[in-house]
Amino acid sequence: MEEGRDANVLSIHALTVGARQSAGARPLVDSLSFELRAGEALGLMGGSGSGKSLTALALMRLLPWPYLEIQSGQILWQDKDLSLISDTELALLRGRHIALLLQDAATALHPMRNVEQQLFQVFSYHASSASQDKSREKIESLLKAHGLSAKILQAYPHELSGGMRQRVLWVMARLLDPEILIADEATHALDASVQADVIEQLRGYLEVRSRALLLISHDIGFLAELCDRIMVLCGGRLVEEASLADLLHRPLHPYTQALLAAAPLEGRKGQRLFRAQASLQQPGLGCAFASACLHADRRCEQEAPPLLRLADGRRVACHRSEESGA
Amino acid sequence: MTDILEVRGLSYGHSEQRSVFQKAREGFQVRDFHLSLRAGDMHALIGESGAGKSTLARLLAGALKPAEGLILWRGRPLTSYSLRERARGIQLVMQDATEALHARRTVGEQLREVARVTRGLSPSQVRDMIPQRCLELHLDPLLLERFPHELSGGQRQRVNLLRALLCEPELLICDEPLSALDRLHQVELLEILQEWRQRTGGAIVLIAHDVNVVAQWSDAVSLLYQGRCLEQGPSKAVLQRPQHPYTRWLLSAQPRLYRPAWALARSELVSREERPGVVVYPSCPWVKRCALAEPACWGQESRLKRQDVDSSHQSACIRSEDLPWHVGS
Ligand SMILES: Nc1ncnc2c1ncn2[C@@H]1O[C@H](COP(=O)(O)OP(=O)(O)O)[C@@H](O)[C@H]1O
Ligand code: SF4
Ligand SMILES: [Mg+2]
Repeated sequence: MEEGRDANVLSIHALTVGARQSAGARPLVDSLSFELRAGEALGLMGGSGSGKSLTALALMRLLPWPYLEIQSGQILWQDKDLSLISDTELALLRGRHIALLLQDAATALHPMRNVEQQLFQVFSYHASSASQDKSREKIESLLKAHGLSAKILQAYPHELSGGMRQRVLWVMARLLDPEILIADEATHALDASVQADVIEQLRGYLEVRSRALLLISHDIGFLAELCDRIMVLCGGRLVEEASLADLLHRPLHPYTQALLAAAPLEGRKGQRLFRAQASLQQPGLGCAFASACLHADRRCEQEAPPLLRLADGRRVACHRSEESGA
Repeated sequence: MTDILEVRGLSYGHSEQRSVFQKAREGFQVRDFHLSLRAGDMHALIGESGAGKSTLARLLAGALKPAEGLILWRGRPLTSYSLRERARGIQLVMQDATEALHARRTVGEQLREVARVTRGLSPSQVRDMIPQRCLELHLDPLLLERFPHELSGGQRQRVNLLRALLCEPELLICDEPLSALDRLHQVELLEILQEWRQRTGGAIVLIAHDVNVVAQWSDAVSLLYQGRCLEQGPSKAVLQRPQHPYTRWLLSAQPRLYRPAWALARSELVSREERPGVVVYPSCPWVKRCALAEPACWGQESRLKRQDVDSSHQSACIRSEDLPWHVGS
């Protein structure tokens, strides 16, 4: 693989995630392909249930067993397909090369172990990597860098505030200097001040050029702080991918338009640019957004729009942009 | 129009200390809170964690007994009403939606019971009405046959809201209804609330930590910090010309796309390190972080003060007249 800023650090091909016993059902992540490049922060945006967390879990092979599985596709990292390697090989890779910062700071920590035990646990899978003293040094310096005192090592998760738990998770994710960090809703429901901290830390992480970030959020405001490129996921499918500037100035997919309109941009009131609906029906064969889309017609309900690559390199999957040749 | 709710000098707390890993705080969770609410008003209570929002919500609903102060509901002390009268006047929808519903009974059963008991409706009236009310909240009536654990978090929250609305309250208090929702569901819920208050003339107290999302929808806001209200006033005035340094900072700390045009750099508003020292009531609680603080801030009483003769816009900053953005200047 070529070296340098544009080298891909992770290539995903047609990743499909679904329930184990669900022949014929629509997959929860449907044939998702993308590349994560060195030095970049790539955004994965979508509403709740769009498949963002499942994508993250699939990349780490942490899907809830035995319910969900990777049904097909490849996750290429260096010369390996992470969907195929052995569990032991994967355990060595997790944390050290690819780390996941979880959505829910309240449940991601073990409630009965103190912070020290949980941080040292990270090293235990990678026993050869560092002596006990080295580990302690590393932990203490990272804690300090994140504004936490070493006193916190003796604390149990319930004794910490939400912001502190988030920082402990962050320290944990960075302990082994991973090159790829996946952050799933890392700032969701956090106070603005804590959120600003997390953004600072993520920015600092990216200062090393060989690293890459996959940031997952429903919120364009957060993603815009860091991402150069954003993918939009709806119903488990990639419906749009564009540079941040293109997405902000000219969102093509109606779902992207709805997500942007709902955000309080420049202090304006969020708008509902989608059909509010009560129906519990699962999306059928057609476009995943058809039931809420303001532009949907019969074709949208019956036929899935293909993901097209446009002349300017953007990708979009909507029957309307197909017709207008956008 | 007269006020339906009037709150004077409300305080709640005991001097229990937090765990040693967190900063020691003043024992009061809410201190000296004032509010006037008219029918149909939406008032947003905004603050970061530890601001005392949920405590205040419970106090306003009469679920907690204040240590000091007075809550007047339609001109009479809230405590002078029976529980039943109170439930028909004020409904509280809590942040943690799981505890409000019974786990072993279907959602429909529980909602029907609420409607029967609080509104005195017959079983057949209830049966017809509830599916209709579900649709108003964009809930599929099929959900009524399910148990609470079979619903998503967002659906559970709406069921809780519906349960409160079935009591036809005149005041609805919602504690952080938006923080677990994505942007799409946030606007949807805000529209539902808006529609409800326009249709029924009910008032809403909406609690949030995200100032951007709610302030645009409410008529007035209160900004809370460590149990104290630092700024209060019409949403428009507060958003466009915030007077308290805390409010300025909170709005400036938003992501770039959400920040107002006047946003200031962090360093202009907050000091790098929290200043040591103990803030003694009624000094300004923001003094430990405020970049504009002066020695006088530590000793002087900080209380809400009108900023502008013609408006109800109030700030508790003792220096507010000297600040560059003061409305009067
Ligand atoms: N363990 C599971 N079993 C079956 N379906 C699941 C499971 N976890 C998530 N799902 C479904 O997969 C879809 C995508 O979920 P998720 O990736 O968590 O969405 P997001 O993170 O974008 O909110 C949702 O419709 C959700 O209901
Ligand atoms: S394909 Fe149809 S339903 Fe889907 S986003 Fe485009 S217009 Fe809307
Ligand atoms: Mg998720």
